[in-house]
Amino acid sequence: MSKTLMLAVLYPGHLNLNGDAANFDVLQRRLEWSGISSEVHHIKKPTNLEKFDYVLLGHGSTHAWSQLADIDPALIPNLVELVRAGVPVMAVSSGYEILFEALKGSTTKHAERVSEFKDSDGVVGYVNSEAQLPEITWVENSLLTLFHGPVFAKNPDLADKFLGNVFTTAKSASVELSYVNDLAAASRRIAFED
Amino acid sequence: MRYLPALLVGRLVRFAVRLVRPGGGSALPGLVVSKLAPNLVYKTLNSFEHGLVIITGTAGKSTTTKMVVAIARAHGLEVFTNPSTANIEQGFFSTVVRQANLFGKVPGSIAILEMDEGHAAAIVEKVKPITSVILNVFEDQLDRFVDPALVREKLLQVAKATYGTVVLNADDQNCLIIAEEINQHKEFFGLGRSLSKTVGESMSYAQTYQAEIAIPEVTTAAIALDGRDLQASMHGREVKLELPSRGVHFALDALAALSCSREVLGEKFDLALATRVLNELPPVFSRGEIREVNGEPCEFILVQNPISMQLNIDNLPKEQEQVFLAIGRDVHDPSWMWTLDLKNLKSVHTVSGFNYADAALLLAYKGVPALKVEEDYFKAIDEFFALPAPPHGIKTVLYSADAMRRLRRYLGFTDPEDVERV
Repeated sequence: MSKTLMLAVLYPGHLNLNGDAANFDVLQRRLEWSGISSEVHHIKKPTNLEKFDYVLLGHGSTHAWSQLADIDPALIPNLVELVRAGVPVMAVSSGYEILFEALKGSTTKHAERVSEFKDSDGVVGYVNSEAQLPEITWVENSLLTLFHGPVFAKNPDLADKFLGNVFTTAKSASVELSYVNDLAAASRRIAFED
Repeated sequence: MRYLPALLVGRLVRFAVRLVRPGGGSALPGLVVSKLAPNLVYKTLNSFEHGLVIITGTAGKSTTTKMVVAIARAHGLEVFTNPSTANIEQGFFSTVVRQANLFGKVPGSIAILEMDEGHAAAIVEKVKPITSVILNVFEDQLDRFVDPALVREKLLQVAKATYGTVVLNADDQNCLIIAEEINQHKEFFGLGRSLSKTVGESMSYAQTYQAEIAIPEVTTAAIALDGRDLQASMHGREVKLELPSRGVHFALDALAALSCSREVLGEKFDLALATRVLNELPPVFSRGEIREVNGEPCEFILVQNPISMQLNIDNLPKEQEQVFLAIGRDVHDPSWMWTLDLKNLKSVHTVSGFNYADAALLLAYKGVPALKVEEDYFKAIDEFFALPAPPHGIKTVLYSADAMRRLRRYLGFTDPEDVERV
């Protein structure tokens, strides 16, 4: 029997302003429909992130990040280590900005806020940010994105790429997967309709 | 006579809009008049003998306003108010165009208005309210507001501009932060300690991520809530009433309305009369409204933000075999739907509306069966209402504002006042 994959959603009480946490529910369903067992854990104060196969750092408000910095100052340094060790970490919007700065030792420039659907090489998502960053950046196996909310539901190929080999080797043409993939195509089209 | 030309043009536009779209077009006449006579609304709102009352916050504005207006009218006040679909600046212009005489004068000795939480701060720069009600701050419209703390800042401006009493929700830490920042007389309503930890759990106000502020003295507080039956105390007097719709949010609206009405009416306030009014008040349209379609009852529920959708789903009756879910164009970024807990939504019969694909994706990934996904909205409506009555419960429509307007126009429900209490 294959191992149950462990998915961690970090601080959903602070970092789920736009429904980012649901991306890991999407992963869990896609895995389930492909015959792979997984568990999603919502974690308030992570102590042993090494046991997780996938980790999500969502978007939060300025006040939320400020409180997180007080209660868990090791959070970002720990995530930097995970990213560098090749663990797939998904970081969204402000989560992207903060993690990217820590990874690169740089400061993100800000410009006028963008609040609209964007298309990045066929990946469609909603951006609500002032950060001057590419919509999608891959660092090792980690996905950093300005697309908030259910980007994996809208872009199943991106979800499956993030899951990596574990998914591509097991992937089968299940009825459920083809149903949601068709809806996702419609959702991406509707995003740009008037 | 200085507003006469603008008002005449506004009336003409309104007439033209109604010819092509019965029951619709509440914004366009206001837009035209706001360009021709930008000060008209402010002059009008400043002209009421008993001043302006503003009811604002993320959720509950329409129901609370309707309650306060009904209570004030029952006490003999002539009230100027706005329909729930017209709670931004243009909507006020449209309402004035509809109700003003050709000198720009509208009937009424007091204005009681619900105001969009984003627009109210700008409006109070020009008109100061005598009483304001700050209902709550929830995470909502983040594509517009970015951060709930910014909404709280806007509501703080409304509270600061108030020259009489500010009525605040004691259960919401955002309201308590506002309360700490103002010197005005304050009145608090709320569920009270025990209820806020039980039935009030689902009222997930926007988190402040700051040290918790102690709850102040709550002068209008719930004691018990069972379905639509609310028992409350108000300045030491007990009151029992039946809410127009089930749900803890309607209980909070009623408490806010009682507290506000007491401030507005002063010594004339008659609690027994106010209670009678609330006992007889029909719901605001689409807030738990039950009406017949094809001879069969159907409940219509507006879901316009995460909190209203969550509370309405939590309050769905156990027997729900035919649910119609329509998310329209007004939901610019459907991401917020993915913050919802759908465990009380057992199944959906039909998914439609402009954002049908996102709604259907949400249901699929959250494990809620959806029998039919229909892109063509009017076809979806026709087929849903052609279904035989469900063996248990009644048909239920959950729709966003745009989907609501299209459906109501399609079915000929164009009068927002045409709602009966069930």
